[in-house]
Amino acid sequence: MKNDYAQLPVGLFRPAPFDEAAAELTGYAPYSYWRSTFRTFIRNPISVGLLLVIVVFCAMGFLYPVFSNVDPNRVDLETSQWNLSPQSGHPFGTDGLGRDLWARTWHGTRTSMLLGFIIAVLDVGIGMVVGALWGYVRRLDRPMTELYNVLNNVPQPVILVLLPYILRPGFWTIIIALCSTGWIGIARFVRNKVISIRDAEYNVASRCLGTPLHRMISRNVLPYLVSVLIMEAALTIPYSIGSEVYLGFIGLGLPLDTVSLGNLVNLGKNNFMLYPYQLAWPTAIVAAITISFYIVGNRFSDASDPRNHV
Amino acid sequence: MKKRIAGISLVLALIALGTAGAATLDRFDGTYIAEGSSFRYFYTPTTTDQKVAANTQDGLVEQDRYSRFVPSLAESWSSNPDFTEWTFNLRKGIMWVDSKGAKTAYEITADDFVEGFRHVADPKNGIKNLSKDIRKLIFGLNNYYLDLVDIDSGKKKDITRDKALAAFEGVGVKALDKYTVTYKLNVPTPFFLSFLVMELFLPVEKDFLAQVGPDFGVGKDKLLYSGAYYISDWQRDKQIVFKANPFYWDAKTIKVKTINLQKVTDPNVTVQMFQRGELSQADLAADQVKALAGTKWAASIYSDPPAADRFSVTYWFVQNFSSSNPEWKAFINNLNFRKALSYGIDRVKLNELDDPYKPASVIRNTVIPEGQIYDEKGRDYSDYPGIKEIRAAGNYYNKAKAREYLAKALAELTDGKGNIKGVQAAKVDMKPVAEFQVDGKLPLQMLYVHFNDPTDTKRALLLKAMLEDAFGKENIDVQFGQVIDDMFAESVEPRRFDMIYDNFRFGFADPSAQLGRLITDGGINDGQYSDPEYDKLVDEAAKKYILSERYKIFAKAEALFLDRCYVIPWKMGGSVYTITKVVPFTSPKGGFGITRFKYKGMVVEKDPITVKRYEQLKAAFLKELAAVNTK
Amino acid sequence: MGSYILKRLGQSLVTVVIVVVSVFMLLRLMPNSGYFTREDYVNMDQAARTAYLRNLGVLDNPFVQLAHFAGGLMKGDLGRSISLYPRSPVSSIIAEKAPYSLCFGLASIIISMSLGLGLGVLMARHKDGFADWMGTLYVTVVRAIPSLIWLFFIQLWISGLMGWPMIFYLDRPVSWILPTISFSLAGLGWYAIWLRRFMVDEENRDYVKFATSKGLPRTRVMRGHILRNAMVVLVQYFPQQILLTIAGSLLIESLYNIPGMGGLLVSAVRQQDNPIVQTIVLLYAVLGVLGVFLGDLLMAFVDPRIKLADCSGKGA
Repeated sequence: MKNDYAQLPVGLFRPAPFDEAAAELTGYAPYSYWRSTFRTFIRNPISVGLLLVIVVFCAMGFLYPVFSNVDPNRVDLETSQWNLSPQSGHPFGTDGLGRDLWARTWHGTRTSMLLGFIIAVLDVGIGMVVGALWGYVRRLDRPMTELYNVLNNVPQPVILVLLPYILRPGFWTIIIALCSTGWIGIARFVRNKVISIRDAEYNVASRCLGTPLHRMISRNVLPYLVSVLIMEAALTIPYSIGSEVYLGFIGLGLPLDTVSLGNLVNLGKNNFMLYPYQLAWPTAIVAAITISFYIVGNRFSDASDPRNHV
Repeated sequence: MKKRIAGISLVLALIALGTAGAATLDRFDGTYIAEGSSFRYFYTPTTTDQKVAANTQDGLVEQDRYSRFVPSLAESWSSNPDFTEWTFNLRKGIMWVDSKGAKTAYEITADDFVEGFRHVADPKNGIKNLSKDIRKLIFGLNNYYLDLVDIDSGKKKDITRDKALAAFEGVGVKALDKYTVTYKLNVPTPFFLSFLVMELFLPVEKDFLAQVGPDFGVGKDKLLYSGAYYISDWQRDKQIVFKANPFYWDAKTIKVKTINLQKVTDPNVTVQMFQRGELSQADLAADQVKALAGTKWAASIYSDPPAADRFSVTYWFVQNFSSSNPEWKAFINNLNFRKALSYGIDRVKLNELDDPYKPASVIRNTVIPEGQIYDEKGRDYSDYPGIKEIRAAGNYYNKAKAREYLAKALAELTDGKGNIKGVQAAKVDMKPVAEFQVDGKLPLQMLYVHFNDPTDTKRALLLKAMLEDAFGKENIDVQFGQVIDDMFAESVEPRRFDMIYDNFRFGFADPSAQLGRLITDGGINDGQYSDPEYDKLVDEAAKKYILSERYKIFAKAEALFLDRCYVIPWKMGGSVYTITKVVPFTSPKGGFGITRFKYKGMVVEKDPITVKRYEQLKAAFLKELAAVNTK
Repeated sequence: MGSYILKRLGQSLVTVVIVVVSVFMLLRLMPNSGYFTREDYVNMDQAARTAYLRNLGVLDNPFVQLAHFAGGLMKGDLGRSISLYPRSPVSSIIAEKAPYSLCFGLASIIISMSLGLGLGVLMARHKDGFADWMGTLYVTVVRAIPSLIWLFFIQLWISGLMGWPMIFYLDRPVSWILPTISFSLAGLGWYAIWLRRFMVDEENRDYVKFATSKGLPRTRVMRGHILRNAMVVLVQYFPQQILLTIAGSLLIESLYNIPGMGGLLVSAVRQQDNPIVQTIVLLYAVLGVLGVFLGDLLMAFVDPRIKLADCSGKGA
């Protein structure tokens, strides 16, 4: 045995001296949930690349309007400035009123991102609280299940059309309309998770071994929920951005003097044959953002699954 | 009467000659955008409904391709000297036809016209287009209608509904005998024929109506046909097929035997279908015209505003004289400011959004459309003195003049330090359309209210840029409010606006159709201005029955009205480009009722009509028209 | 079992009633002004407008209207449209439009289910391989990008490329292809991604490891254990998906001018055509609830371990 490793290629292996302290470490892994999640996540270059895309678009969307003084709704009275194709001064060209598409795209990105973030936070926030209660408080199960069935069976168009009549069409109305149906799905999801985690064997075992409640929650339950919730949030954002585009198409979107990606896509679509770039830019950005969020969300959910941690 | 018929046949012979060279088709393939509501042809809220009504039913009279009123189911008519009683003699032996194109046992008689009107006059049938103007025009109708309304609401209990219905005997629509209908009117109406081309005056067969009951018009077999076509096939939201009625009284003028209308909502798809030879006609938006430039189709794209559907519509800006925005109220009641506004709006540029090629071609400065009504000497109302000059002025936009008038207005309304006299800071509550704070200082804040649709939003943004450019941002600040889908209930009626734009159709062949409802408290006086001088002129004009005298005073009234800028007219409807295989000027022309939707007499060719050909035909047609009108 | 079914049906009925009644009442919150156009306001005075509304029955007390609706329902009368297609019986409107949506929906379910499940198996089997990678890419694109965008490009480019009609014609089968494909794409991704996920989940289970380690061939493990168990979870959604194809798709039907059910609900709500909205909401709620119920039955049928009475507490 002793001579065997001498035959191994030099440079690949080196003998390690015995270290008592290091040997102790194997007995207790310094496992940190978040660090492992993060480590698993950044191991994948695609995830990191797409995260970067999101960061860049967020930065452009939120910083451009602050640092630029170009008004995205500034109409040019000179008709020769209408429908310009991309050129210096107007990197994305101008639209049918001579409005600068570069400025409009970033303002629109901001509006749509904001919309997505707010809806995600509200949906997940409400869904988490209600879902946890629904899962833990057994008395709530019946009425909540009924509420779920009812909300699930009210066609969404009814709410989407009715709300703007009761409130006014606008940013917050869209948010309320989309949230009104979004939270219940997440709540139900959380409820199912809570029930299954609560009654899972390892938790029963943990309880039997006398693990204190706070440790059970922080180590056993929360990691599962947090990963799920973050993924839900990450997936709600592209869904909300997509919904805004769809609502614009059926005429229930944001007021048209609000600059949003949905409005840009729908306005561009009308002129696609003639001025393809008016559709191309906002579409490319919508696609990049939604795909990035979708993949990053999924990757993060994979990374945050303790089973995938090594 | 005989002379007119002779004239028509001469014209028809001319058409036949004019088109003899080209290959004609007996089929027309068209499109429609919105599904019609039903085939109940008395109630036509959509253009599809109007197409159905116009082509499947005939009224007593119709308009020919020169827009003259000519016999239809009535072969002759007369009126008493003060135009309050009109008698129509029907053609004999014309039968109702069913959806298979077969003759039914029912003959079209005078009773059918009375029955049709009975249907329209019963509020239970929900015929919305029975306007208050018509209710007040036909003798006894308004009381009859309101009685029924009161009975239905329980307000009137002393008489049963059946008894009230029987009182229709007292309404001025009567069948004297099988082939004679008379209409008795409350006021002398020399232009009554222009009412009769409306869908409200169409006939219906009583027995058939009783037989189908509430199902009347819900399907193609739930109505009978008296017009040039019957509906042979119909798929909701997809397709309507008209086939020529073989028993039509004027069957020989029907060249196109099949009319196939498909629902296509996307205008780009319409154009593609036309290019692939699937359609006989496609209306083009400006962008599509641009897209077709340089292709072989470009030679066949023309725009013909006077022939376009919506020509008799006038668009105007309405200003709110009783606004709850104190700054605006102070300004708009000042004539100099109104003139500044009128000079500050570049109508051509606004229209460039719809038509970048000939944006000036549809500018209209007057309320009454041109080429619609002629006096007894054949003179167009819009050529009367006072009106003619305003028309000739074209685009009123003039930045220098706008500033000049604004300076005058500012001198009168402000103290020179930017404070508006007599106006305090206030909160303007026009919720839910808008809510904002005014400070009683310049810039003047104004609320422009518009629909939340792409074109309207663009127009609003452009208008804002225009006014702020002409007046300077230090003087005006345009704010926006949006209505969801009901301009009237959300904005106009509760007066939640400073300025909006609206459009109105010229309803019947008399200036009073528009001018009469623009008086103080008039039906479309949405700005709530009041000008006794104008009211008096309109009142005076309405009492003259010789058209030239009547028009002269109306023209004076309109000129005064426009000079004082109570509304700002800016364009006519239309401006649609078209590419078509239909020979222009072959189908009926007219802005009243449902005439403009008639396909009767239309000639379709194998190839698209080129612009050159169109120009030739137009020159010939205008010559004919001038000859016809001065005859 | 029988009593369980009765109990479930009872619960479902309660759900349907709550859904229909709440939508019914919500509709009455809308202002009546929606029944008139600008032109109507010019033509009609207040008396005529009130009379018009009264004849539509929308001025009655909402509860009276509800009773009226329920009464008609008992007699099988769904009422007549009031503003979208005035006076046409609602039942005949739906009977005209539903077949289009159903045909496209069912055809697309067959396509998306067979291709989607196949893709899912392929992806799970070659996890992290090329097929998985391509499949994930496809699913990501279809699910993440707003469908309006790719549907629009499919119509524009493929119809141009193949020379197919841009819109649907009943008598030209070639025009059915693109709408059917458009209908299928999203469903295909849904089936693939979920089957893959459930299969991957099952693959990590102990019983699978045991089966593999005792020497069962991989195909048998895949087919007999993994796929079967993964399908149990998926199968419960099938009935609802099949039943709700009747709802059609607003986007696809409006792009291709298919006279189906897709846009009916939105235009009916917008024009405040309450009888149509009520009927559709009722129809969808019944089908939705029924679909969940059938899904549970189907799941119990596929997986004998599931006893229906046990999951009654979990609800629909």
